[in-house]
Amino acid sequence: MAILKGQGVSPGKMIGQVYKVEKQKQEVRVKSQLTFNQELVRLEQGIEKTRGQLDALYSSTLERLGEEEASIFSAHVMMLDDPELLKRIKEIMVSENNTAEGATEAAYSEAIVIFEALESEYMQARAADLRDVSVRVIRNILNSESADAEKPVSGMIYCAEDITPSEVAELMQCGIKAFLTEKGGATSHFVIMANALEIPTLIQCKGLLSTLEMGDMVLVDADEGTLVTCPDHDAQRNFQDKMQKAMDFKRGLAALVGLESVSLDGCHIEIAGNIGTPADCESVVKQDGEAIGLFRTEFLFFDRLQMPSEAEQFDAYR
Amino acid sequence: MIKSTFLLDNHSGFHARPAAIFVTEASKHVAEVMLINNKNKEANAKSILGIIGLGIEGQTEFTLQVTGADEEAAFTALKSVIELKLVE
Repeated sequence: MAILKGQGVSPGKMIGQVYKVEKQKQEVRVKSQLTFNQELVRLEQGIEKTRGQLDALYSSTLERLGEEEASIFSAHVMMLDDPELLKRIKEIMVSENNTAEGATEAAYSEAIVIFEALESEYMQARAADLRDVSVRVIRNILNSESADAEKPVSGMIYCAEDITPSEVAELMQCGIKAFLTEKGGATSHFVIMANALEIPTLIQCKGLLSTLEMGDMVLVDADEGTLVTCPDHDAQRNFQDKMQKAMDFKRGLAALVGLESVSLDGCHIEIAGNIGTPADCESVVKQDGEAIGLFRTEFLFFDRLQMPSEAEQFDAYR
Repeated sequence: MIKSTFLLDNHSGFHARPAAIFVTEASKHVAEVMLINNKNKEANAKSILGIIGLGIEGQTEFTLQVTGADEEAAFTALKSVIELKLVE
């Protein structure tokens, strides 16, 4: 039994068996044995297969989560079809006598380096998207084993170095109960999707992959930011009690939605929710909040390059 | 060739969403479509990475340049995208 610390980024407690993924580095050859036209056909087939997969991910994400999360994948298709990027891939194939996959890796890397060098977090997130698309295209050109080949069983806890949004979209069909990553950033697209799916998630768990083996039993507590590996009988029973209590508490609260908040002596008490962004209003209303308590007005200034205008702030306050 | 300068009338600049809308329209035409920022850097407007890389900020000027067979139709369509869909 060991206890690891992590950062809980999507709340909840979960118990289950580990499905451990270790990324194998794709073997990419950079000297072609084929003619340029043969390599071009391989490239085009890889791109078409990728487009099919991304379209499917768009549809399933749209159905499960909504337009905003799904648009991650329409942006991926646009990167896939980017004429400048395609031109560069072909240039590298010609000038270096490179393979389709080698040239794809090189051209995407050039673009990724440019975006990573830009300081805004927004551009860094685009670099992560580019990397996701690049890995997918190379995998499809090589026709190698993909995540679809060996899917985890429903109810398992997915454990990897990091997770991409397209992996989450593929995994949401399999009934994964929790996500654990050794790296991962709190603002990444994968975390946004995990929250929308209400899947407990711990990131930045140091020593995760060296400690856990496939099939190990783990107790994931994303509320407290802890992970217990191979728990003994008592620890497991204690944890199950805690999970049960948390669930009962949540169910008890849900039963109160729609009732008036009045004290025993008949005094009405207003229940308000605190929000970070105007979009949070929706969940306050859904959970029967009557008003907004605190609005984190400074958040309007984050995640953007320009100052918000007066008109824009006025709209948000309304 | 048709060339004209516009003001980007929004706050967040030519980021992913506006760039995606613009690329979608530009790609419908055969004409070559270029965008030029106020530092004279130019990019292919059918490339989302190209447009984002220009870093055109809100409330700054940029130039649209369209060259090719259907340049008039392309220019009219893109002008209306700039004036209607990119405004926030």
